[in-house]
Amino acid sequence: MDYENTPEGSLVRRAQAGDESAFQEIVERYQSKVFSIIHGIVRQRNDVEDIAQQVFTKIYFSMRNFDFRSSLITWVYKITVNECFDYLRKKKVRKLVYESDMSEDEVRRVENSETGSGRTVRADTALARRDYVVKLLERVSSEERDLLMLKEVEGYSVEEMARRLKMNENTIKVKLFRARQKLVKASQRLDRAPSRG
Amino acid sequence: MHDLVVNELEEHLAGTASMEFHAHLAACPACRTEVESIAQVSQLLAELRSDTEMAPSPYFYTRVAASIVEHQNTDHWGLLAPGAAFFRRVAFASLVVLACLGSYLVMREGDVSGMSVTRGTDAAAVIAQHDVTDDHAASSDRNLMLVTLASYGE
Repeated sequence: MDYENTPEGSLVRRAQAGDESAFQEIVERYQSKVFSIIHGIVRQRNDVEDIAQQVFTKIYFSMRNFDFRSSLITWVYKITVNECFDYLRKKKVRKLVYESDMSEDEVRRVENSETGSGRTVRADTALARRDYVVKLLERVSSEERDLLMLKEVEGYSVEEMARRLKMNENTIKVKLFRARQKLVKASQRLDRAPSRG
Repeated sequence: MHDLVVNELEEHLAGTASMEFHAHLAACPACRTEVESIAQVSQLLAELRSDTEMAPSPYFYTRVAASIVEHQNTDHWGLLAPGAAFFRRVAFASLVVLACLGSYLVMREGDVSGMSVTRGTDAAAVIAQHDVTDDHAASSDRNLMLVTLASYGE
């Protein structure tokens, strides 16, 4: 089915032409999904709406660049995941700057509470496992990260991903395989890294 | 890693791999170890599934619209924005450099024109020395022509 000629395709066309009501409809259609994706990665309730706001602002200004090569939800998903990882990266930088003003004892206390090191991250808590997975995903490309998340978090089959992304099934299988190998290598490196403190 | 494993890994992780795939894993320790590592790490990705439904606030779209307007206002300021002082300085410096370069080129062109005038004068002076009313031998005309051409070349 040609996505551009679907009802959603014409909604996107209207939004690209500057129709604000069309953009509002897109926001209302996908806001819950975007909130859910962000919460799964970031887990800080206070930050979810802020990040979602940035996601839809970015979507507004990038709408003209949407070329119908994938479905809208896939495109929105990629932007959302990228914003989450950008947020986490900036948060890490701010934390490092903040830490430089703290004493050694204070830094160790913050790190232990946030499970900052490779060894301590593998504690049996959901938050620690989530942090660990985020660290692993930071070590693959954004394309590989999107594929892995569509497959493992959203639960799409390879056939569905091929249809949504307009890629060949074998290409997706090979890309997923390489991405998974990179995750394993990243996991081995993190496990070998000495713990801080 | 063997092609069979690459081709059927996704099916294996979904629990639908072929008998041939399982037979290969049983016979190939390297592939078996790698597939087990991949399966272990891949399962962790499920941690990123949200277990809580978060509803946006009723004013969420208003916040998005306000954010868009703010971004648009920042873009409209362009180079006049208070934060663009650095770029204003760069633009001013570029103009000064262009003005200096332009002046230098104009001065150089004046020197070159001067030289051309001098050459012209030299050639004109030689030609002016030749009095066409005088009776003179054809050879002297030839000689004078050669002198004229040689002078022009210098």
